[in-house]
Amino acid sequence: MLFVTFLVVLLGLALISSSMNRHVGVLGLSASNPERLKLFKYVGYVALALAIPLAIKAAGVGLGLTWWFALVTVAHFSLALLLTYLKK
Amino acid sequence: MIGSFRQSMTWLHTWAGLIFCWILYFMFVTGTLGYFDDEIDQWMMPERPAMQLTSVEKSIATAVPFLEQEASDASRWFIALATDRNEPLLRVFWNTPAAEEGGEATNDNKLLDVSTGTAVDESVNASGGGQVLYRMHYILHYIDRDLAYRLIGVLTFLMFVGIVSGIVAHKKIFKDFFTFRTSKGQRSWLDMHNLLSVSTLPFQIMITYSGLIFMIVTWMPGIALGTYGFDAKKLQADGSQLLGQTELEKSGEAAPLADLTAVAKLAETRLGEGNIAGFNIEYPGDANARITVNGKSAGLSRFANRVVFDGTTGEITDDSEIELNTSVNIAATAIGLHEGLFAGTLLRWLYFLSGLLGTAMVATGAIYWTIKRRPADGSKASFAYRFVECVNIGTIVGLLIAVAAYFWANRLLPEDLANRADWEVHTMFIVWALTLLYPILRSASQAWRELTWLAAFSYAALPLISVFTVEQHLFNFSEHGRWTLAGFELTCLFTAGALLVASRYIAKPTASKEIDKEEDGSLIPVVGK
Repeated sequence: MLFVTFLVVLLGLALISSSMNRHVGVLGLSASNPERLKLFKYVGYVALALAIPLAIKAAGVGLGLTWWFALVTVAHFSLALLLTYLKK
Repeated sequence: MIGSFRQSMTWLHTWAGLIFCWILYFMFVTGTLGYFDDEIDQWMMPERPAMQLTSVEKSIATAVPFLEQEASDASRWFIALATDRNEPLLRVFWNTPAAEEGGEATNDNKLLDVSTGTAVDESVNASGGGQVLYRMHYILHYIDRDLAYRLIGVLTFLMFVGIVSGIVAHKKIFKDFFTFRTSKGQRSWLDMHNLLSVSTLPFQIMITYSGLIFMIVTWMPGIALGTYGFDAKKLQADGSQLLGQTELEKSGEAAPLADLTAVAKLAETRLGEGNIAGFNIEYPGDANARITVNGKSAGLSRFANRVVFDGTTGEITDDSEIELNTSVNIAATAIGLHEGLFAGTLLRWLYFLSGLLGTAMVATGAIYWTIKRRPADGSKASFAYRFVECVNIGTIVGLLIAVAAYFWANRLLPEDLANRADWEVHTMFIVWALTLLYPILRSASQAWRELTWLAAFSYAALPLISVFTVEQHLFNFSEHGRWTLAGFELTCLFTAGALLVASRYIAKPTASKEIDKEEDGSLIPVVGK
C-alpha cells in the first residue's frame, strides 16, 4: 500500500511539474494548450491529496502522515534531478 | 529594516545563516548519523552480542539475580528489556543513595548477556559508539552540558529563523519548485540550495520546531520559575505527576519483592502480550516497594502506557492509563517525531535521507555565500572572505573526514588503551582541526579536491581495516548473520563513491561566465593562490 502511495505521489508531482512552463517541454508537451496544462496541475494536486488517505490507511494517522511527507520529499527531489537530467 | 521586508529577510537569512552554518552543519551531520546510532554501536563494538530478543521470563531470570547481587542497597532498579533495534540488549540500571548525609547518590548500569547470564565487559575495546556521535548534535563536546543546551537552543532558534526568512526570501518558490539548472556557476549553487530546502521543508520545520520543544524548559525557565521559584524538588514532583507518577516514601521495613514473572503476566493482560518494555522498581526489598511495568510506546508519541503494582504483594494498585494533558501529548508527539524511534527500517532510511539533504542544504548555502562574493578579476581576497572559505572547506569536507577518523580510531586504537572511548573522540576533533588548517596551505580548488579525495579514501578503506582488525568483516558477515554490520560497511563504500563523484564535479569546468574566468577551470572559485 505504501508503494502505491509513493506511485500516486510521484504521479501527482510529475503532473504538477508537467504543467509548469519551465518543464513543460521536457516531456514533449506543448505550452500552447493552457487548458491541458491547467488540467495536469489540478489532477496532480488531486493525486497528492489522494495519497494522504492511502498513506493513512496503510499506516494509521500519525505514521501515515509521516510517511506521506517522507515520500513527497523523496519523490520531489528525485523528480527535480530527473527533470534536470532530461533537459540536458 | 534594509529596503523592503523581503530584502530584510534575505539579509537576515544570509548573515544568520553564514555565522552559524558551520555549527548547524555539525549538528546536521551528527544528528543524521544518530538515526543509525544503534547500528553504528554494533559496528564499533562487534564483539558484543548482537540483538538478543528473548522472553520476558528469561530476561527477568537474568536481571533480578544480577541486581540482587550487585545492587542490593539501591533505591531503584530499572530493567530495560531487549525489545527491538532501539533496545537490542537487556540493560539494567540502578540508583544507590548516598551512604552518609551530604554524600552523593550514584547511578550505574550494565548490559547483560542473556545467553550466559553475566554482565557484558564494557571495558574491553571500550567505544563511544554511535551514541557519542548522536549526543554531539545536542550537547556538543568538551563543554559544559548546560552551556551546550543553551547554545544549541539558540542555534535551533536561529535555524528556525533561517527557515522562515528563507521562505520569504525565495520569491519564486513555486515557479522554481523543481528547478535545478546545472553548469551555471553561482546560479547552480543557489538552485541546489533552494531545491534541497524546498524538498526537505516539512522535515526541516518538524526537526527544528521539535528540537525547540526538547529544550522548552531550558529556554522558557520563566514559567517554571514563576510557579515554583527555586524549589526544584517541587517542580520535579509536579513534573512526575503530569506523567502519572506519584512520590513514594521508603518504609524502612524489609519485605521480599513480588515475583516479577507473575507481575509481567498480569501486566500483559493490560498492555497486550509481548508489549512490555521494562520494569521500574522503587525501593526493592522494602515494604513500600512499587513496581511500574512500562509498555512499548505506540505510534509517534514518546510516552507509553504502564501498569503500577504493589512491590510486595504483586497486586495492581493503579492500572489507569496515563491521562496526559494536551500540552504533554503534543510535546510527546513532537519529541517522538524528532527522534524517529518508531520508524521501521525503510522509514528510518527516509529520515536519514532527509537529514542528509538537510546537511547538503546547509553546505550549499555556505558555498553559495563564498561564490557570490568571490573577488572579481582574480583580485586578492580579503582576510574575512578567505577565512570563510577555509572554514567552509575544513568543515564541509573536513567534518566528514573527522567522522571517518572516529571510525578508524575505533578499529586502530589499542584495545587496552586507557580512556579509549575518549581517544576516539579526541582523534575525531584532532583530524577536524587539521582539515581546518589544510585549506590555509593550499588554494581553495586544490583544498576542495584533495580533501574530498581524502574523505573518499577514508570511507573506502574502512571495510579493509575491519578485515585486518576484527573477526567479523564485510567478507564474512553472512557467516555470522550480522547484516547490520555489512550494511554499515556497504554504506561507507557508497559514501566513498559519492565523494569521488563529488570530487569530479568540483573540478569540472562549467559554461558559466563567472567560472569561465577561472584559469584552472574549477567550479569552486580559486582565491588566495
